[in-house]
Amino acid sequence: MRQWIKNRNVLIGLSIIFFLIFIAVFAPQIAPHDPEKAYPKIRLEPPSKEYPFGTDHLGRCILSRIIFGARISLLIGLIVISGSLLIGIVLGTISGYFGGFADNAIMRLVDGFLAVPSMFLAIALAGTLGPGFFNMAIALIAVEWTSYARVVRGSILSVKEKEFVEAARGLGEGDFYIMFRHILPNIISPLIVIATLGIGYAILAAAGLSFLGFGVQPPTPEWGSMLDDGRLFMRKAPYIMIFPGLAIMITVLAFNFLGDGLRDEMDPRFRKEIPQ
Amino acid sequence: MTRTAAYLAKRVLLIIPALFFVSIISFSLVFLAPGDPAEVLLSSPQGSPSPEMIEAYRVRMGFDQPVYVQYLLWLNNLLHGDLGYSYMSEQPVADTIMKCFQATLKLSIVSMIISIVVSIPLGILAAVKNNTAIDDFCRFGALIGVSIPNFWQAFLLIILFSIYLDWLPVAGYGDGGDLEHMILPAIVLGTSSAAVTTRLMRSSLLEALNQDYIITARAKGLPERVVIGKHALRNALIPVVTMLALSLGFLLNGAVVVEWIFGWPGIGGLVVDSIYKRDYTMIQGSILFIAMIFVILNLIVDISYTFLDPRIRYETMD
Repeated sequence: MRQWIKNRNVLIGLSIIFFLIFIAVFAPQIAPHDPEKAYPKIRLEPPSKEYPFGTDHLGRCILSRIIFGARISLLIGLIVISGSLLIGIVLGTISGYFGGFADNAIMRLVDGFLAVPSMFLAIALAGTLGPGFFNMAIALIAVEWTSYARVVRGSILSVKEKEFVEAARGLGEGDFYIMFRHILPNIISPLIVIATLGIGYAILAAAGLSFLGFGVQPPTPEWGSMLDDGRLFMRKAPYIMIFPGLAIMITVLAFNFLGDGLRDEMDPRFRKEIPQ
Repeated sequence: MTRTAAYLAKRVLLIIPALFFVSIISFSLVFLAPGDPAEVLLSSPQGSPSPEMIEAYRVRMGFDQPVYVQYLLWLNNLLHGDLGYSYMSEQPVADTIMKCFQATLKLSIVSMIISIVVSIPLGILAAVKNNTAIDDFCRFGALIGVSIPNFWQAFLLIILFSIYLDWLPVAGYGDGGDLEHMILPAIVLGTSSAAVTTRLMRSSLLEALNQDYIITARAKGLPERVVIGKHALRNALIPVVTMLALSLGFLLNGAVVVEWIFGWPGIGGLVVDSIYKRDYTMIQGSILFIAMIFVILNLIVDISYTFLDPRIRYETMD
């Protein structure tokens, strides 16, 4: 853990993520105004001392809405990744450990899901299930679980024949015990890397879905739907388009920094110096 | 060669179950929507249909039959190239999709060119100047590229180039999709795909530079330009070139939101619009079509990989 922190990318990513979590948890204390209360008299005000990021088309404080929006984005990232990991680990483990028919059936299902470009599948699912936080989460889990299933399966295949697994089997340990006690801990590092990057992707995709109106519904403050709100007023008040997008980008960037840094640390191939 | 042939045959055959699952996913969409499928299909923004209409439609469309019979009927039509008719426009779904796909293809090609022109030189530069400020800059740029929401980037470009500078149109297709209308959406799509390709180019060249034959080439006293240009780059480009087909898939993904924002009449915008209009036959058809394109692209990637890189190990690729 200590050596990871020394990695610059890990450090940057983690700092931003902790900052965002802090903002999300203490949103009611930090936000200067009520994020959902409209003041029609002060609509589309440019940034000022009272409203540092300006006000939106209903006179709501954009800064406060962005602060509260961190809750939705981090939460959706967490839920989507947990759901995808759960499905991916279970199906990937079954597939890799048992092989045979189960492996074939699961991998063909994965192929089917991977055959549709993720954004098309997510939009079709979120659009048909109807708008809302949980339907959006389901749609995103449906497009994300496949990569975890594949990684878990691949890693299991690579450690399955190792001596320590043979030894455990020789000691008479059961399949499930071997899977969870001996194999899973050995494949955890590639999972951490793709899960970190996956959170970033989930947050980005969720913002896209909400932007299109298939995700979180107004008046709940959400970064993607804030951009959708601002769309009609961007001629008059372009600044309302700036900050929500910046918030999405910084958040996704933080997870990408962390994921990249962790990969560099965990994969010894990247640590090798290039001979000059 | 027999192993290659066996691998390729297996790879092609695996498309069938994949597309079978896709057909089930597309078919199920109507049933995922809240409410009765007939009602869902007949409902329009103008209001709900009468109970008699729903009943008549159920019988006509076969919704009174068991689900698997419905699926087989639908699949049968599908295999005959009949994707049904759009509920909204009453046009054949297949015709609309083909027309939209042409627009998407046009936009994708231009985006791809932008992506290649930006990413290959940057990736090479980053790898050659590994662990310098230039490398950091390229890597950071690529990270920004994958992290920036494409819809936000689209609006930033519209605000700058269309509203402030008034150089380019805000949106639209123009005269059959002219360059003027294409440039902003192509930049948005091109940059996100460039970010991915830059990273790949960099890591691929770094790996090539780490090989023993590079040490040999350097030991022979070859100038660095030849070592990189002739020995390393050739090998490093293999994964990048094969990945270009995949990045076309990446472009398709971005096209969903970007086409919709720019009013580009492509297949991405079509899907979004069809969902707004609850035009389920159109959604089903588009998803199937796009999956077919995607599957074929992936097949091309895998096949070209086996031919370009003889070191590939088939058993790791299933």
